[in-house]
Amino acid sequence: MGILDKMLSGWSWFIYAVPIVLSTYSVTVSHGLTSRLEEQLRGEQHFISSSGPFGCAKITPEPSALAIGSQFTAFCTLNETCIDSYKQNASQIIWRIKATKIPEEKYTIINQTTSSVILNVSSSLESPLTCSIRFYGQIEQTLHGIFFTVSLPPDKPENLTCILYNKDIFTCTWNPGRPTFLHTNFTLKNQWSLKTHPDCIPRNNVNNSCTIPVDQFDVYINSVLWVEAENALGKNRSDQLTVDPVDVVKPNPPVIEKVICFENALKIVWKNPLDEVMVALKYNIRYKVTGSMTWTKVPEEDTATHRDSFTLQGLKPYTEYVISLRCKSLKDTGHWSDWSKEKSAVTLETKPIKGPDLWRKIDDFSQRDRQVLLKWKKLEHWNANGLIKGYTVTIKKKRQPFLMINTTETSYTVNLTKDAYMVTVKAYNKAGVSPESMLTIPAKDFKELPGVTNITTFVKDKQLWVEWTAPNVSDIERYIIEWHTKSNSTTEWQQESSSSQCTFLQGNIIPMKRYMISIYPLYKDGHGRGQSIEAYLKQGNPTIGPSIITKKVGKNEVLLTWNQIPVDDQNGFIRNYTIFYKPNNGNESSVTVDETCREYTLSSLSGNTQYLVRMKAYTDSGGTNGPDFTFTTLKFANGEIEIIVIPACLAFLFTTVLGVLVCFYKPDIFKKYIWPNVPDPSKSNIAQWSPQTPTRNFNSKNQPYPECNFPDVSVVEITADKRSFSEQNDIKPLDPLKKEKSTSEGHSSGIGGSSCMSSPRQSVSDSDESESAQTTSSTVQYSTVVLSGYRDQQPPAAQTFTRSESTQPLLDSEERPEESPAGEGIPGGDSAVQANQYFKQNCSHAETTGGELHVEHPRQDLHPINEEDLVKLNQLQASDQGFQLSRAWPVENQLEESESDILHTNPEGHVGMKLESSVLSAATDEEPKCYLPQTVRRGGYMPQ
Amino acid sequence: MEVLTGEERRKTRQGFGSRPTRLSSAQSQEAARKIEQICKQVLLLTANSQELLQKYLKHQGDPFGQPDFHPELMDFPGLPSPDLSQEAWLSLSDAERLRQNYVAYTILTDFLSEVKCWQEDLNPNAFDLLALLEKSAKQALGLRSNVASLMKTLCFLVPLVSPPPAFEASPDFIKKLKGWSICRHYQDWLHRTERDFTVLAQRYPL
Repeated sequence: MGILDKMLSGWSWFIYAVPIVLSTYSVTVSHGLTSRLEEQLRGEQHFISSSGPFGCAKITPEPSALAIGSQFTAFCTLNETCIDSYKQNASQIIWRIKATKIPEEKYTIINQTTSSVILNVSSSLESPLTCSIRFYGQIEQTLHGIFFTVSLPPDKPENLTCILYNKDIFTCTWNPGRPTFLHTNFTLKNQWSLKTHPDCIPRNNVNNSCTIPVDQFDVYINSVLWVEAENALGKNRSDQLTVDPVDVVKPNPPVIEKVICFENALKIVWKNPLDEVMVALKYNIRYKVTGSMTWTKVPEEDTATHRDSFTLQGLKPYTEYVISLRCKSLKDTGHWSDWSKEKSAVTLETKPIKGPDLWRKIDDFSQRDRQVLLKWKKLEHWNANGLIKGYTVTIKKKRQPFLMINTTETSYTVNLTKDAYMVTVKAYNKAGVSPESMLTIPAKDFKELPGVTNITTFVKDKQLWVEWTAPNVSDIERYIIEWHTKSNSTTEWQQESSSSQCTFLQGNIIPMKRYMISIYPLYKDGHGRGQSIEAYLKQGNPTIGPSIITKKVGKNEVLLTWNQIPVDDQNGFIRNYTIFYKPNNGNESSVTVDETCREYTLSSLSGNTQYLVRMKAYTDSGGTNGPDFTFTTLKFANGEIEIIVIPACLAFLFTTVLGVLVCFYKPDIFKKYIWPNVPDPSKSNIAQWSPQTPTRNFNSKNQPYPECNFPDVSVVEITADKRSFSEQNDIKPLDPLKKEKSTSEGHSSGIGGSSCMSSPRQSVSDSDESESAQTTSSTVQYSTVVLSGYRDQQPPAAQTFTRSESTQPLLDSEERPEESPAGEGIPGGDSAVQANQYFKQNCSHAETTGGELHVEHPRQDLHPINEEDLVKLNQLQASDQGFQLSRAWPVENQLEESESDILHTNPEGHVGMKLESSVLSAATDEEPKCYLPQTVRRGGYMPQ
Repeated sequence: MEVLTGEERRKTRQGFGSRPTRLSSAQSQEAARKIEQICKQVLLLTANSQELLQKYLKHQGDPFGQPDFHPELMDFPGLPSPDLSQEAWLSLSDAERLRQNYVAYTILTDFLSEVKCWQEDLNPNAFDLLALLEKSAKQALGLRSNVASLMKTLCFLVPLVSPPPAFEASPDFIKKLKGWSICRHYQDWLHRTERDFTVLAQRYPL
């Protein structure tokens, strides 16, 4: 750059401008040239131009490879002609390493023609290395470049080892060291003591092994071997290896030619891969039963000599064995051969060494006979010693032959009597007959011998083991273990020796199935008592959970019940249950229940609350939830309603009774407060001028009923104002009688209107009028009646005008018509009517006679000869209605007196009649139709 | 032909007789291993030489191979005779014993190669014989190398053996006879070497 600056500083401005224009070109050209240069150099490794500026320089040296970690010094030398032509010298040379300018401080100007640069060679160094120069001070032209490879010299080959495969292939391998990034030749040198063999050159760019031709080595001749590695950067060689190929031999596996079979032995004959004179061998021989996973090895010392056969002994008869072997130099040098190809052979048969395991199942189908299923197991292969062709079953009864059969089956059913039998079974094969197996079928009345005790089960090595304690007797011959699942009646069994005290069940024991295991000791004379236990090979969670339901729901508690999970779904022993219950919008609670429980009461629940409950059954493995169940607690507890209602009823009843009793015995108390004083019309002054009540005729024959005795009421019309009279309350008691109008017993009084009946037959139309008059009765007051007088007549001055201060109507029933039916409904209803009538009668007497006598005549009319009427009167007094009616009298003492008079003054009834007649005569002038006919008819005295 | 310098002869003479005492234990062990190795090699080569002789007779045609054909064994200049008197053989020093073996197998190697050349002309299709001849020549060379290595281990000079004179052109039958004689000499020398190394093995036990 400094040179360029000096050049630029001395040139004119236009000269300065030209390079600016050309600089772009020069860069382009330079880069274009560089690209072309790269392409050309890639093919030729280096580039030397022959003409123009590109022939002006040359880089030396031109190595094809540079060693990593070394320093490389390159020189770029300009031709003299170029220096003269282009007026440039070595100081203008620019070094680049693949388009990257090398800092000038690394340049060294050797002289006017030569510039050098020093490169530290690293793995990141990339070619090409170029030298260029700026023509005319601006345009950089690449003059020369070189391509090189950054690589390594070969490392020293290490770990040279050789192996002789059998006797033909002698291969040596080594570790070539680091990659060199450069083509490196590896050569395996091979020499004998007095002979140098041709080099072994690895094939196919292999750099770590080579196979020496068979004519260049021999056993028992030491070969001196080493590896030489060489590339452009250097040469290296491994340590020498002196080896006798026989010491590194790996023989081919022997070939088993045949196996000669015996009952308990197999003789193996094989062909050795190497002659003994060449390499003496030793062997490994292994064998196993076909299907077994474990090999048995022949002791090595038994096969430590060169041989071509060996006899395996102590083998099981009629057993297929698999055999293989391998070999190695007897000197124990070199390598073991691969295992030979396996060969199978079967040893010869011998007679079975034991009888089959024997057991029975006895079904008593009558008192005398038994069906006995004899069953025995196939002999294990190692006991059968051959192919079992059949079984001989012999049954003896009292030592006398009973039955003998030959069968190929493993069971036999025979019907036996209740006697004891001896069963023997023998198996036979081609070579002979087994020892016999014996089983005693005891007599039916045989008393079972002691059984085992302390049965326990456990799982070990994925087997279900059962352990027991032997009976304290010494003559046990063997044990029989029976088992079956709960759901499968097929019983499996196995036999164990008398010395056994534990065993595992040799069957297809399925996990999560409950097995019932029974153990029977067998004695010479029979079997012992069977002892059983239930067990699982592996427990799991129940398949289903218990379904819980409510049995009884209360306010704060609920009785839950559930069914036992079926055994097949339990998958284990149910250890306990957990009940989870949760109220609406509440937290879940749980309670654990023993597995023996079938119902449980949850207490402390909230009343009138919906609960979600579920039950989880746990085995040793885990639990399973049952379905959810929802229930709602009651609002009231059982009996709570009764507790409330019954006392309330009792209290009401008591109150009622008490009230009744009080009414009976203390009626005055109520009179004061319930019935205020009502003006007594009989004591009213107006009664003095009331019309005379006609004498009534009483015909007890024709009027058997009291009410019929007093159908008519004598009413004194004390005013011309019909409306004032229509409001007289003494009409009200006639209301019940209105219902009987159609029976020509009409009794409407017609007070307050022109309704006074002349005849009961006519009372229907009259009663309507009186009814209309009754509707206004509530507005009528006696005071009005009294003050206006009767038809403007003035009462005698001598008579005292008495009026009631009460404003109450005479009869409450009129004011409260709803109470009337009650009065009608009660048994004394008729009496009540009578009372009203009596009251009206009484009124008539009072109007007529005044004083005490005015009440006696009506009563003589009503009840002079009928004792039933007296009784009814008493009943009337006892009833509310009766009280009510009685209390209508303003002066109760009068009523009492009058009641007593009723009983004593009957003979004086005619006096009353007279009075009534006088009143009637007085009233006839004004309103004869109003009451005369009634009095005449009743009294029978007044002519119509 | 064997050519020994005066110094070599002197050293060789030192080797005769009893076991050299200058050997270190390691050298002795190495020598013993070498002797054992050569013993096994000789056994292998002896077996091969028997096979070679049978195959050779098989491919030469009548009268070769006839049970009653017992031609006289030809002598070859430079090839030491394997047959020595018992006394002479016993009196051989280790060095001389090894030297004779070395010289014999050096020459036999060349002879066997020559026989192979003859047989390539006489029985070009007898591949097994040709391969066996080549193998035997190689094994003889290997045995020679081992003997030389042992001699070096025992600090015996390895003699320089001049190549034997070229065989004169001869009729095929003579070639066959010469070939048979060479194979016989090879076998005889192997037997001799076997005996020699049995002695050496006793002197240089492992």
